[in-house]
Amino acid sequence: MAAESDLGKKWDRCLADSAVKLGAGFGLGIVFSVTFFKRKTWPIAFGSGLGLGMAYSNCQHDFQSPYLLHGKFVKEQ
Amino acid sequence: MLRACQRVGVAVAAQNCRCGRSSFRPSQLCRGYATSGESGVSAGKIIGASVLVVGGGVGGTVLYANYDPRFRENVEKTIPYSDKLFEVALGPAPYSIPTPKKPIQPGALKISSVTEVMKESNLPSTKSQKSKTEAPATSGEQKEASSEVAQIISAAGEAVSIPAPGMQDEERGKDHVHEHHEGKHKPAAPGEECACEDSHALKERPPEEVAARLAQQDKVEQEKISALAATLEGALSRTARITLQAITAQEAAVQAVNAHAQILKEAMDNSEVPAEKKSSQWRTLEEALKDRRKAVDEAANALLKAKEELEKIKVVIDDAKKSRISGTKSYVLAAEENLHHMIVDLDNAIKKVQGAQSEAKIVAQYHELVATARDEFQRELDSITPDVESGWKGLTGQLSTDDLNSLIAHAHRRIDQLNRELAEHRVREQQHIEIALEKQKLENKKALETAVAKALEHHKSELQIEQERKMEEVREVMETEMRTQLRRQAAAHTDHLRDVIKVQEQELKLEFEQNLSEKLSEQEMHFRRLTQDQLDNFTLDINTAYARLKGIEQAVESHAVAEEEARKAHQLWLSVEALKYTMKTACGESPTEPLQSAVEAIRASCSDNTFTEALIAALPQESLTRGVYSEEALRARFYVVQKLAKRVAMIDETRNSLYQYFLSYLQALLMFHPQQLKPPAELSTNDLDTFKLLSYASYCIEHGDLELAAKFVNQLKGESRRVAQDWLAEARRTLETKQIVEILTAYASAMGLGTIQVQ
Repeated sequence: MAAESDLGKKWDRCLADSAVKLGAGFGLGIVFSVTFFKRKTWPIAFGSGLGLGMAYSNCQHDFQSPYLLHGKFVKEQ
Repeated sequence: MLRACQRVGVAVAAQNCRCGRSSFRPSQLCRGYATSGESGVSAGKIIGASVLVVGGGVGGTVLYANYDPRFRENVEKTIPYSDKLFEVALGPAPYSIPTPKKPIQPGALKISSVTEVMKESNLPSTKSQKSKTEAPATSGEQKEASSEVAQIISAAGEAVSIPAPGMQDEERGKDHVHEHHEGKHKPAAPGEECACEDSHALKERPPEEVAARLAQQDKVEQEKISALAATLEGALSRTARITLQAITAQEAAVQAVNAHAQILKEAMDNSEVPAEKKSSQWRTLEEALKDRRKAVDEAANALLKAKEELEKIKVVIDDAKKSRISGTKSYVLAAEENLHHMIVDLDNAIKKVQGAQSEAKIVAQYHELVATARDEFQRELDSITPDVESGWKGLTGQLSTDDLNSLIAHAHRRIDQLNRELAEHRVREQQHIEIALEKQKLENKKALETAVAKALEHHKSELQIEQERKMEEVREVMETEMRTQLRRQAAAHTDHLRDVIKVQEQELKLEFEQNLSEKLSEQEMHFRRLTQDQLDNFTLDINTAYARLKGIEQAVESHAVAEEEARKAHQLWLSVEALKYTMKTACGESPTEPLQSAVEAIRASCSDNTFTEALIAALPQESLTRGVYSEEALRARFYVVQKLAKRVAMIDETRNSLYQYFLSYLQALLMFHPQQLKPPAELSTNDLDTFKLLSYASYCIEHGDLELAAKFVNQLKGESRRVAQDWLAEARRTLETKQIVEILTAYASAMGLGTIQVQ
């Protein structure tokens, strides 16, 4: 049971995370746009893009996590 | 990627270029060094110095190894292949020769030679000498026989060294015989023994008989000896007595003669004694004369008797000598000695008597002369004065002057006559003396001759006796010598006999033992056969009875066993049925009850059945603890799984980004695949597509073949597989459990069927 619901869980997390990040990015963008960048739009876009990007990256990492190999470099004697 | 490869290629090329460039460097360097000058010399110097040092070391090692072989060995041991170098340079290594062992002393030879000597024992004298010297040296090493021989040798040596009192031998012979004077029989006895043994080589007389015979012989001899000794003693005593008597008689005669002579002399000398005294004197003289005569006669008689006895005893002694019995020798010798002494004494006594007699004769002659002179004077006186009596000495007052004158004239005339006679005698003195001397000489010669003859006789007899004694002694020595040799021979003989007898004994023993063993084995065989037959019969009977008993027992047991089996099978079947029932308790989505209790029941019902045990052990753990899912549940779950698997069909190890996820979803959306596809009999490679596999699996599921569906699902790869993993595990568990249950059921039914007895 856990295996097939694993994917759904992953999606849930992903979406939640992306929503959070997006919102956070958006908000920060707004904040920065308002505070530092004289109400330009680009910080908002930048922030939301940032947030989306981060969310995407996190999502990807989460989906890739079973296939990621963590190896140790062993020096040849 | 390409860029990376390009970069790598550039780097490699650069490296190659660098290497190529660097390869030119050393020659440049060398040239550079050559041009500079001092660096090349130093290198050459270094090389030369190192070569020199190495060569010096090697050469020094070789030289020292030549000098000290131990060093060479050490070097060879520590440095491999150095021994080859040393061989080339110096030649093979010297090896130390081990010191040869000293040759073993041939002590055995001595012993054998001595034993040989012992064994031969033909030349007693020389061998005895040799053996005497060697016996004390090797006495400790000799065997029993040789020790005996050594004893004999020592005894012989003892006998040889002591020249000879016969008594010693006699004393040694004490333990053989009873009396002490039978020692002389010892040489006779072993000789006789040997003779007996030789003559009765086949028939061995018992030692008691031999001893009895010997004792008898000894007794006879002893009797003879005792008789002889008795006779000798008797004769000797008689002779001694008589000789003593003779001697005493002679002595008495001597005394009488001396007395008579003395009295006569007195009578002659004392002419002034008055008449009565004179007559008494004459009477005593007569008596003395009578005594003398008697004594002389007696002495003569005694002498005769003694001489007779001596003769007799001489005869007896000669007889004894002739009898040749060895034991009598001592007696004979003693008797002879006694005889000799007696003869000597007798002769001495006779001489004394003769001396006394001659003296008496002289005195008698003197007396006669005096008597005749007196008679003449008396007659003259009578013629002149007839009336004067013989006792004229007392009549001086009665005579007249005429008588006196005539007497004086007569006296004067007598004196003249005597003077003339004296002158004549003086003139004829020399002649008379010569005559007398001649006579004396003759007499002396005669006496001397007789004395010499007597002395010679005595001496001769003494010598004879001495010689006989010496002969006796020598004979004894010889006897002992002979005895020892005989003893030795006897010993050698006994040894030989012993050996022969031993050999014979061995042979006989062997033969008899063989015989005995044969007979024994025969008997044994017979006995064994009999017992074997008996045993066989008995065994047969017992076996039949036992077999029957066993058959009965087995029948009964098998009955019991069969019933037991039936019961067990029944129980097993029941428990398996229970298990099956628990399998059916799955409802909806939830799994069945844990199968633990049912399994325990099965285990309890047939604990000794390995098959069931194995099967029960093969049940997956989750089924026991948690239970398994039913097929329907799995079916339902499968659809979910299927959908999901379709969605992530493109995701695997290499493709797993979000973009790929998106693509995969798109594919699943757009892919229209038949839901169920009948799987082919064989799978080909293009059948391993996810969608196809899933359709095959759903087909199988729809047709109730969970196993095949699971197999298909097992072929999924990548994310689809991961998604389906849990389902697959559950399906596997369910399948396993079902399989085991089926097997158990089949088994229980089979067992149950097997226990039914067809009547």
